[in-house]
Amino acid sequence: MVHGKRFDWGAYGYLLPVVSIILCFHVLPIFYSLAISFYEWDLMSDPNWVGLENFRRLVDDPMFYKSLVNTLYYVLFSVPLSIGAALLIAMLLNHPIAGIGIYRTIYFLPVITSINAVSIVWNFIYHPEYGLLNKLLALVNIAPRPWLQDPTPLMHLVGHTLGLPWPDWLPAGPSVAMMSIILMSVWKGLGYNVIIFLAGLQNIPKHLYEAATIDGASRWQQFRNITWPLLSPTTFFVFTMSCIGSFQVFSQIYMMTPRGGPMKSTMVIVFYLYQKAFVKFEFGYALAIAFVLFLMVFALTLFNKLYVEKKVHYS
Amino acid sequence: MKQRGRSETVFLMVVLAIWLAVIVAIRHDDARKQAQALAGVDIGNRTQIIFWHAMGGPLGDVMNDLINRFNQSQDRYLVKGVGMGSYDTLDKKILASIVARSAPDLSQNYETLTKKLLKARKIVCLDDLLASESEDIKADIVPVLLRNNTYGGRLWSFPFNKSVPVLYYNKDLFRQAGLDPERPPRTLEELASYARHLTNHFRNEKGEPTVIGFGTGKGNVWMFLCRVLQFGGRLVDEVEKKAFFADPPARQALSFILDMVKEGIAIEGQGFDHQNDFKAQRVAMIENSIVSKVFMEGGIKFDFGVAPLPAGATHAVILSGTNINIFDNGDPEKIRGAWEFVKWFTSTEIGAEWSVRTTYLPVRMSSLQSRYFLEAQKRDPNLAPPYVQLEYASFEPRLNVWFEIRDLMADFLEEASIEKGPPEKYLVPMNAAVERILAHASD
Repeated sequence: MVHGKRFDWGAYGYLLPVVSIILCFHVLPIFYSLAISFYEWDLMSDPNWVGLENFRRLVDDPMFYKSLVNTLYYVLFSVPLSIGAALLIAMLLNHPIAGIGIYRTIYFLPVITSINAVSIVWNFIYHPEYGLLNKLLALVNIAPRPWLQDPTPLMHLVGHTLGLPWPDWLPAGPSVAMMSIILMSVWKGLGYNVIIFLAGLQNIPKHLYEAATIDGASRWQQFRNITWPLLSPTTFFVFTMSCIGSFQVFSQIYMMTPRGGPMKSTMVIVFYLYQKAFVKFEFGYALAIAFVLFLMVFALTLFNKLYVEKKVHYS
Repeated sequence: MKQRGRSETVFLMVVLAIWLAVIVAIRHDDARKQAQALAGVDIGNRTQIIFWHAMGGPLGDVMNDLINRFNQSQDRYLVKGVGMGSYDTLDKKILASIVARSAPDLSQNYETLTKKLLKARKIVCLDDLLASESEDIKADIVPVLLRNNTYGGRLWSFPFNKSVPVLYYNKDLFRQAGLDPERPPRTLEELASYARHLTNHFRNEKGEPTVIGFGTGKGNVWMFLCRVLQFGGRLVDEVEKKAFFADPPARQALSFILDMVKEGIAIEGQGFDHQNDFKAQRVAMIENSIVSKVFMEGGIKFDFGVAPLPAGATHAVILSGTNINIFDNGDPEKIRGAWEFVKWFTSTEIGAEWSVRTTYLPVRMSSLQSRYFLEAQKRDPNLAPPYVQLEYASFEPRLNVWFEIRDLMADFLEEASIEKGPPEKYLVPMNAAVERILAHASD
């Protein structure tokens, strides 16, 4: 059309199916839910316009802040743990050792297993009386814990073990229950990140390592000066995707602590908005929470893009 | 490389073949079950009645059996039962179906949802259907169930599957500890002293108990409310918008269980843990719904008894479970059919059978006197205790905010159960929080 070019019906025809799916199932619902966040609606009666009331309520809702803090704990612990472990395993799997395919498959298996099935199995592992974990710990004389039912904050636990009481005014970290879920989630998502890191590692030209070896660089120096900078686009991708995913954590929380955990210590934002929407049927309020979550994830991604990406080395 | 490709293809084909075989087998089994269910039923010109329920496991089997028998008993209606897995899912599906204008014809519902449906004019008033009956059905309904389903003087839901809590006790452990297995504790004081006696009797060389006397659910609102009533207390005043959870009976109710846990003669389990502990003979007595009997029975390898809940200052139990709603989807024939099913299901004989096979309360008093019922009680004496409690059974407030209140109470009770501090530390703020919700409760 433009500059006298022929309108390409074919190209738009091919695009039509995917564009209509994205419009119907992604773009429209986003705007629709934003619109509903200005209403009070219980599904049964007609929506009632309340303007910004839902957002005003959010400001003095203690449970919203609690869920926000819990979500941040989840992100702060699961993202670095997951990236660190995945990078380590990917580097180990990058060596030509016997049965490498089997190892790679084993690490990838949890990723393709349903999160619900995995959560049920881990519920057994963490069970206070009959659980595998406590049974194993008993073998080395460590007292059992009620893992998923334990609201003790991590820093209180650490402080207690070291004999130093943790000051009350400091954030005390995620509860044991939350840490249990974080560990499970890291294990579950590990394989995916490992595969991405493996692809990234294999893109690094071998001759750089050869040159470094000739120059007498140690393994750590090779990692620090070759692997890490050249892997940074991959790390950045994994970091961004993990952050987005972690902010939206829900299934394992719902499956493993169906009431939001001991003392609401595993109540994360998406679980909170789910409860508001589908248990208490306050759809307007729930969608207001969803919108705030959207803004936060959007801001974070923008921040990553603008600032963190500056440190990324694109070859 | 080529060879590997071929073996991979073979492997994939085998996996695909197994997968297809499984699917075909499942489909075949479904078709067979359906054919079995409809054996001798001519589907022809029947009006279909869609019934959404939440009965799973052994309860679902009884439900399906009865639905099939209703379908065989007449040739005008075909009831199709759809099990939703849980009340929670059922609730969500009902609301979604209302929005999508594709509600079922019948469903099990809690009182709060009935009230919502009533307000939105989605359900049928049962009084209108009862009016055309020659038999005075209402006069035969168990009084507390009739009250439970009456809103503003009219019957908007029909009693269906209500249960009562009971005390389960291990007769074998009673015998070993020198207690009379035919004399379960009758008062809360006795319950505590029995629990103490049992715990102390079963100790190993190191002095650790191998059996705990009593077990209940952690932060269990239902049991807490029962105990508040047993200690002579009240729950809430719906008109004055007042709650009584900071009053002495509520304090007694909470400290009763906390003291036992602190003493080490009772434990609180998450979810159904105490039920599993009872089955594994690690706990000698538990309190739970009578319906748990159906789920536990198969796994119990010892002699156990069922008894009415022990009394505090007075006897009291609170009903649990749902009622049934008939939806108004604009087709009088479907409403008629749904009503025929409800009537048949709760009739004297069928109601007695449902009650015996599931332990839910029968709807009609005549069921309690039916031969089927009396003979079953003779066979299994554990079936009788729930009905002793009928005369003092009551139900929870039917406020639209009640589930919100219950949820909130569960949080405070959980906190109490974890910290085990003085009861007023949890009950005073809990009462205030309940009253804040009550203040904005509409009808």
